Amino acid sequence: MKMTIIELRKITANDGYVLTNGEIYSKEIYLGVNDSPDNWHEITEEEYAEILKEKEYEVPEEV
Amino acid sequence: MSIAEKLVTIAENEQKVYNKGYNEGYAEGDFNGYQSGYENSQNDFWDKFQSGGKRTDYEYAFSGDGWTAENFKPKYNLIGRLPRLIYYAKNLEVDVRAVLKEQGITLDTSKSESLVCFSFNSAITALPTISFVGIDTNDVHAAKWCFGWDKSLHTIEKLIVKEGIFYNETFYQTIALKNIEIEGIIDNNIDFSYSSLLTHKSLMSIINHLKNLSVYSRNLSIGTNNLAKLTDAEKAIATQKGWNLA
Repeated sequence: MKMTIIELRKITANDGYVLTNGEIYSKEIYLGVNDSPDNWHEITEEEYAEILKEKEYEVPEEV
Repeated sequence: MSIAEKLVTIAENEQKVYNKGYNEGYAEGDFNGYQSGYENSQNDFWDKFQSGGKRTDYEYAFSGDGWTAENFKPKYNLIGRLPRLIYYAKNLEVDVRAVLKEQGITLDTSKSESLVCFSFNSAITALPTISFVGIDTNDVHAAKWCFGWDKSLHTIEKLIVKEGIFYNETFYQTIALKNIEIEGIIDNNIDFSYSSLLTHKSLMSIINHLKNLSVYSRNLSIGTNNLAKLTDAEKAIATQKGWNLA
């Protein structure tokens, strides 16, 4: 018999907040083995909505 | 000219009749002549458009509203510089794999240093193997918006990648994507969060081709719907390799 323990660390934002490490945004994150919860912080959903508004541009006319 | 006379002429010089059909047969209601002439004119077009198969720069080649399933019939293999190949082809609702098969030609993206906006904002539904191996890894925009705004694209038969590529919004708004097979190693942040319809097989293909990171972290964004398709053990394949999964 062989037993394997798989560690899966999940961090979840509090209600009304979104998690970010400055690169990605999500309500929940499964942390990679080299990462630390200290590298993540919460922003409000309103702040996230503002970021999305800037990010989700219309189809550019010319690239 | 009577039909009998035409038949004699056809037998004597088929090519001559084709040309005549192209120039005059249409006006005479000679369908066969017209058809032959039409085919000849199509051949002439593609010979010129693709330089008899020697064209090497296809940037913007199939861009714009004018390309449709009816006229997208390339004659020669598509190879060379291919950024913005199918750019803004909003009326080109085709399975590119099927067109290539029907035409007996291939699409080879492996020599292109940039595939920026490759099929950007087009109506295509499926692509054959797309290779990123020729991409210049010093160019952070080389894969930017490669499939961006392809809102009908459901299948990329295979995506061949290599280390060093920046997936800079490569799949931005690729909302219909279901099927993708990865070959090679992904070692930079990659975002599939708009592709919420990805199959379990596609998700596992992505996860299984993430680089094993020894000290640092990278981010794989797949979105809540896709996360729900994975077991904890499957998610752990990504996290154990050092990838944050969102």
